[in-house]
Amino acid sequence: MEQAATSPFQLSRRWFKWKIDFDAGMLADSLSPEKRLRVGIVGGGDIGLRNANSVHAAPAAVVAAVCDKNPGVLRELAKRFKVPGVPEYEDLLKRSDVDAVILSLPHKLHAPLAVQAAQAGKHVLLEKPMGVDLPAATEIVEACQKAGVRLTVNFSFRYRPAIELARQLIQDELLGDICGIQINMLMFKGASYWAGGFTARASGDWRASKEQAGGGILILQVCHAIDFLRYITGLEVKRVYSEYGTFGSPVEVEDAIGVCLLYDNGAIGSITASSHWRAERLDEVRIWGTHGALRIETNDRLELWSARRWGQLSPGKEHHLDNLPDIDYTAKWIHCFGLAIANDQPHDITGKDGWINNAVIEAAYNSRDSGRAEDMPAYRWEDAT
Amino acid sequence: MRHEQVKERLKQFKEYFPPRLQELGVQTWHAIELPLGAMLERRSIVEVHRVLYPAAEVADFAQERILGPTADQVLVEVTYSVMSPGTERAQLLGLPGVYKHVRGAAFYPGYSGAGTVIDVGRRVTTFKVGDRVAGRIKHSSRYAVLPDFLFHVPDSVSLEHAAFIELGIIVLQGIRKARIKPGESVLVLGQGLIGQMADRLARMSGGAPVVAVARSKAKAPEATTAGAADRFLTVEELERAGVGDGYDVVIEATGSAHILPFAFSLARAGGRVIGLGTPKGRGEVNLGQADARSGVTFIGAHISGMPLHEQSDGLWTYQGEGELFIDLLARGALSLDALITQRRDPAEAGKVYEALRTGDSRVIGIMFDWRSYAK
Repeated sequence: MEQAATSPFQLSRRWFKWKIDFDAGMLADSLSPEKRLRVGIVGGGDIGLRNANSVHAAPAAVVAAVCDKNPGVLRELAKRFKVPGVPEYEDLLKRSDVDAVILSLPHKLHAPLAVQAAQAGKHVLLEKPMGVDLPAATEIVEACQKAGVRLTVNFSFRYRPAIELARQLIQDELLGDICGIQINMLMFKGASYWAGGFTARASGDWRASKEQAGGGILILQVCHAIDFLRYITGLEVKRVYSEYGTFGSPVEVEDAIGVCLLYDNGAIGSITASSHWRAERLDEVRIWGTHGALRIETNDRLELWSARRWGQLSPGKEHHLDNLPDIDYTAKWIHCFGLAIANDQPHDITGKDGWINNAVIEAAYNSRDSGRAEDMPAYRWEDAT
Repeated sequence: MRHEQVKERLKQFKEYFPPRLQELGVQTWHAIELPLGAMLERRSIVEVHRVLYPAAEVADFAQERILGPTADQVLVEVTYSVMSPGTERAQLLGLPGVYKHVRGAAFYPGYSGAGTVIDVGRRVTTFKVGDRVAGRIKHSSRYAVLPDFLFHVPDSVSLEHAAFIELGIIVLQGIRKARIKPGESVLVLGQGLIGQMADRLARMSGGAPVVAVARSKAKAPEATTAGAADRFLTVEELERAGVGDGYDVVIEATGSAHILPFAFSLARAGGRVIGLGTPKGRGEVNLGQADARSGVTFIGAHISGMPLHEQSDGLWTYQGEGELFIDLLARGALSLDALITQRRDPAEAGKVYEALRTGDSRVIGIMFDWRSYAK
């Protein structure tokens, strides 16, 4: 018996099956050990450790060596993964048992270290954002192209089941033509975060510095949503206007920002973000079109309303898709990158994606300073790295 | 206790139960509602595929289980159902005066179809299993209907043509109210399904000439096939050419009351304007204008104004018009082939109604073919 309304039972079965397919896709592609991507871990702070764990978890990659200026952190990582600990970055790049490096560092260091890695013939996995600013991103893209190495940026939110599912829903035209996109990202980052990150395991206050970090909430957090919205909708930002300021945080970078965006199909976007929102965290994206509306909560929950049927999801009703599988999406990003290299195929998230992300952010920051809307620059390098 | 208070009490009551338990309650109710109803009312349970509007401006196609025919009803396995674009669009959009969508309650569109009888209630004497029938049937693979709204279809008439029955009745009663006499000039405004059928029946009634008018040329070929209108004019052409003394009979078949003032301006002194079907919205007639002063009669001709049973002299009933329609088809006096512009699988209802919603003016007659959903 098929009911007009979707029962939660039917849904959970559907997602359960989906999870199996999703995980099977990851495991079925496992490589023979000698074809795995040997990754050097550079930076062992909060994010560096998480990325190292994900490299370890990715079937197509393996932790080959670790590198950090901080001797304590270095010792800990080397012990954890039973690999050589290399204090000097130059020495890591000289190693023949390292194919790629994953850089999880203050944003300012992304460009110089990525360029060095490219020149040494190592593939580059960068933590987001790609560059501290657009010239830095340009430098990275050009260096990797010149050296013929692969470049990818950790916009791994694309692999989150909620994001994959949202993309599928939009590809299946459940929203019709997209009219509007709204990003709401409100959270509290207090003095301890600005002074030492999430856990202060590799203490540093670079996040508070405009020069070191490139910006605040926009470049730190909203960059993910800017990227996955491109992935989900296929739309590119055309024009950007922004206002921002610093109100409650002991920092140079912005802690509140509002951005108005025009997309290439005419859709209108807005970003409201703050890192000084004292109430419960809100992290959501709303996309609406001529035939439906979608709300994505980044903790992997979707709300869909469509005038069109999608399998068992009947039209004209609000559907809550909230028992999505929990996967290690960072591992999936690294895995897919390693797999693409092993199979000599194009990889998913490229330097172009990183550069465009930097360009949107740069346009937003420039707009406040210029006092007018900024047009997006064109990506000039046709070969994706 | 007042209604609001009851609702408030229920809300408080609900809060005692965790959502999972509430869900379970709803599911249990869904599971027992139908068998309970079937048991209490001594009715069967039938599985149907049908078109529905779950909300305003949303159409869907779904498989559902519903109660079978009552003792007084006939269950029809539907072969074809015809979409009536004007009315069904107005219902889809929830236009004022037509239908108001209620949250959580679906609307089931359609009112003209044909098929075969597969079950009859114990008090039904006029139909038996296996009969070919046409009548007031929704867009559904099976539909239970009262015999009053059902007609026998002889083998010489195709079910596809018979499926137009309700539309045929609507137009027949309107044309009858127009009392067209041989040689009277007739102008039909609007060339949708209703307008197109009005062309044909006006001509059959002796209307000469019959002039079909629509906004664009798109529907001209269907309007001027053999047995239909003598001439086709766009509104622009009509305004350019002028109407001279005016037409004896002007039939408003656009479904929009905004057209009525224009319709009045086309009628001759003492002529008749017929509001055929369901003119939606408001139309304002300037009574100071010459055409409105010179004895023009407006005749409302909605199907709801006709009697169902009683048949005194000169008064045609619903049954009478329906039988006449089938008879006209059987004698080959009325050809509907040109009016079927699309044959669609009802599973495509989502797309079909999406096009209807945006007002695709090429649509005349859409026929849903239910044969693949027959058991």
